[in-house]
Amino acid sequence: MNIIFAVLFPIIGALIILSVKKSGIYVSIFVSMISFLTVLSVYPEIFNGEEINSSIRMIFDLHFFVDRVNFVMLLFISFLNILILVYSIKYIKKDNHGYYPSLLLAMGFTLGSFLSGDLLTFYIFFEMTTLFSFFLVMYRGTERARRAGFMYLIMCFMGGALILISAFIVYLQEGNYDMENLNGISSLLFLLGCLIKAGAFPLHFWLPEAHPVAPSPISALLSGIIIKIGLYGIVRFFMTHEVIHWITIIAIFSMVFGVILALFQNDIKRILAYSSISQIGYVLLGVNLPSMGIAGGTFHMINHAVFKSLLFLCMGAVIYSTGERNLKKLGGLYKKMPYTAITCIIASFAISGIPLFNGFASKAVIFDSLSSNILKSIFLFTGGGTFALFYKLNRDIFFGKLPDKLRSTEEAPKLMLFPMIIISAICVLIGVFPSTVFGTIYAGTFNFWSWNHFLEAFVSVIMGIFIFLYGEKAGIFDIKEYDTDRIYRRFTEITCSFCENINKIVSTDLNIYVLCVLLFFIFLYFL
Amino acid sequence: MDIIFIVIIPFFVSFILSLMRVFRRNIFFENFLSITGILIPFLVSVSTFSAVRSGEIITYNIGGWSPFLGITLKMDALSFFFSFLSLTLLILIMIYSLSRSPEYKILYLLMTGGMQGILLTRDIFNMYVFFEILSVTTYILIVSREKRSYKASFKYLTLGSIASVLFLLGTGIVYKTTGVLNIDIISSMNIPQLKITFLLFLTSLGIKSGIFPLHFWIPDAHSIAPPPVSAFLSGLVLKIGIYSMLRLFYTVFRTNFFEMNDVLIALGAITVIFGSLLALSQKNLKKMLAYSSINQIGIIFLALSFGTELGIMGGLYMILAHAVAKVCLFLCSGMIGDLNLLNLKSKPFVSIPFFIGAISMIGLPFTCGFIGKYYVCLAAVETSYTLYAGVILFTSIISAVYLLRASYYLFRTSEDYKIPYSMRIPVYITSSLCIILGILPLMISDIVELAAKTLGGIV
Repeated sequence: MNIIFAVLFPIIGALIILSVKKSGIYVSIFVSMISFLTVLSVYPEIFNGEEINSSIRMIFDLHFFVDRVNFVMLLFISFLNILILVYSIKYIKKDNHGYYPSLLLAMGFTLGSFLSGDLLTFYIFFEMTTLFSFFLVMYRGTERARRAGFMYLIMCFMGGALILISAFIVYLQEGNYDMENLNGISSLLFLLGCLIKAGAFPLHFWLPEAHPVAPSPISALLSGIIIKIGLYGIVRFFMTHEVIHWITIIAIFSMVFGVILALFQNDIKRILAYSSISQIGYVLLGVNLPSMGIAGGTFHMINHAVFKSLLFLCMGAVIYSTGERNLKKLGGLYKKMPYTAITCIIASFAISGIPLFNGFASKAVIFDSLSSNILKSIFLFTGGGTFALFYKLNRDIFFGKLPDKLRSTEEAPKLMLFPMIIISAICVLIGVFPSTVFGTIYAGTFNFWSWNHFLEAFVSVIMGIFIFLYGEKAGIFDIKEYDTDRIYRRFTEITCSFCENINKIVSTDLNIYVLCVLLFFIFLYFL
Repeated sequence: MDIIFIVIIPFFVSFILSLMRVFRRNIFFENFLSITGILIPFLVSVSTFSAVRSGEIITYNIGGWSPFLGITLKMDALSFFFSFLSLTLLILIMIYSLSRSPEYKILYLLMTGGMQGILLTRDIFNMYVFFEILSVTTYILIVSREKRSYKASFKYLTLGSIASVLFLLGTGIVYKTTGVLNIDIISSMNIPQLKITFLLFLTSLGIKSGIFPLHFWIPDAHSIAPPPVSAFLSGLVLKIGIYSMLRLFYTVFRTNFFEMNDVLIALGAITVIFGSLLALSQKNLKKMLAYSSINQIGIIFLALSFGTELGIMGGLYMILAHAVAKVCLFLCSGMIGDLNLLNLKSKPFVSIPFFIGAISMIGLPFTCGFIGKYYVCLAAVETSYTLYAGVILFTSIISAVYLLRASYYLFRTSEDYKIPYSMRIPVYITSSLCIILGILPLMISDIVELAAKTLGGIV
């Protein structure tokens, strides 16, 4: 089957749901399965080392492209889509605001952006994904959700606008939209656009606002999959371009700040959102290195999609059962929710890079391709921070004393546990057999099980314990709010008040209107 | 049939309709007549399609007089584009407003005739006459039972009359310098025109189409007028001003806009920014849509001021997109009870077309608006005005904020009420046109390219 159907089926499914006006969960699961099978059906061709090119003739040509790298991503993403939909059956109890249509549209367009073969196609799908995920972010409809949703919309559209301008510059220079023609100013604009979408450090502030306010399956989709669109653009960029040094700096800042800010948080979903920023840093660090690094970064990106969506689903289960998302008010849930606890711990091991889990493998590749000692120590520090963070998270949720309010907590429904268990199985499978996935991305061979890597993981864990103990002692975990989006807030406030003021100034007096006409005429005449 | 029927039939039918008021009202016959009054011109216009597409120009001299003395009607790609677009939308708006009074239909048909006259005539003075017909009918159509509407109409009347005076003055000066009024003959004579004539026409047509310091009548008139009237005012009447600018400036004043290219572009950019910022601060849905029209007119004006082929193409696509989407949005607004932005309520059959119109307005991919935005920005980057491409793209983010805000509220809260199908169908058609025109390369894109080619490359 043509690969384009992987994109088309979810969109058609959404249209069907919209026209029949039923909640449409079965249709959604069905179309997402078909889309997964469509991706799977091109496996033989990809396995033989072929690349698939196809295009749709519209007013602009949409150009799709599949090779080994994005085939693996597509496979994981379309599979995760099914699981997220299955999870939603129980989680979204009553849907009257078009949950499934927007979810399907967002999923379909996301697959499209991973399929895109040139800049314009990438832009088109990028923009459409933003549009529909915007509605998903605002699904709860609270004041906070609306604020976050508009912040998300503005920032991501800004990223899209930058990408579009870079595409135009390339088009006027070369006459086509190929990504390898990006250079100079256009590559700067393109990278900035992608970095905004990916949530890298100075432009990350929308991410911890937007991801936690959405319902948990949506957070899983946003944090696990949709931010990877930006990263995918960057991966494709670096496949044909030289190393750029400022990206490394951004990567380091994202890694360190993301994890430090995450340690300050008490909202369980905010913690995960900040930790996404830190993990994005890893990927950026990886893809900005020569050949093996890119493969490592891509591998980490896939792994992050897997374990971060698992983490969000786990947190969703905790919120579903307890109705509580503050870390301070949770505790001792291990007995009450054993499956959630186990899957969450597996995901935490994966994200902290413990051997035999998938995070370990990709971190090992990135670690091996680092050359300077400074970078290596930063890498280890971030690893330690991540370990401390997830040690804290698991301890506060699942261990310790059970608060009285949560005595009657029950395990999440089976339909929610099922996707979580499958994803945690994937985590372990990739962790034990990393070369099955890594082999498709990277042509060479890589020894995952060398002592170096175990040592690296071990040092991270030790460092993590130290960070945790130090943090506990110094009390830095109790810093309440930490605003990093002041500039954005200030900017929007100024814009709003400016608009209001202009609106007041605009006169209703007819004399002024006529005067304006005359002044316009005279002004232009003497110009 | 000759192209004269495009202009004559609406006038004729409106005359018959006014005679019919003597007899008892027969609603079916009245509706039938008012639809055929636009349908026949539409069919005539469609029948010229293949000739126009092959680059032919269909000419009709009224009364058989020579072009030097008499009035000439001509149908070329540009006229066809505007005439086809406006007639299609006018039929849809007519279907939407079939339940209105017979006076409305009489004026509506008069307005249609005037509009088609402007689009076809090649005589500047004749253009002025048709402009008057168009304006006078719209002054009356704006007025409803509300008291505020008299005030809005009066504002429009005052500014519109100033525009007419300036237009007439410009026509006089052109006649004094050249001795003829036929646009084609003037453009072939190569007599340099005066800057003051250019400015007179610019100010006059600027008022009609709503360029920045001349736009003041738009928000009031568009927000207070009945929904179908706002729809064609915003979707079509503003574009007629733009059409006349295109026709006059690209043929009569073929002199690099008197070195005022940069000024015009800057003017367009100011209009874009001003419109979008003000739209953001509005609390009333229709007022917001009116300011968003100013925003879009700014983009169109900017695109046409580049003077390149790509720019004109972008401008024309933008006109197409804005006309279709704005008509859709205003017609939707007619089916919403409370127009306060925070209290919007609707059914899915309103909110989904509204959403589609909104995304076309923002210029998101797979809609017609994107094609327009694409070509305009490409033209801006091509003529190394990259900054203006940035302005357009970033104001489209602002318009995303205000339009999606409205559409978000529409999606969330629903209300139960009944709307007749004659009102729903035009909305469905316009909203699906927004998407179809953005995806499929239809015949209209050939016409746009042809029109851009015949005009372009002058500056």
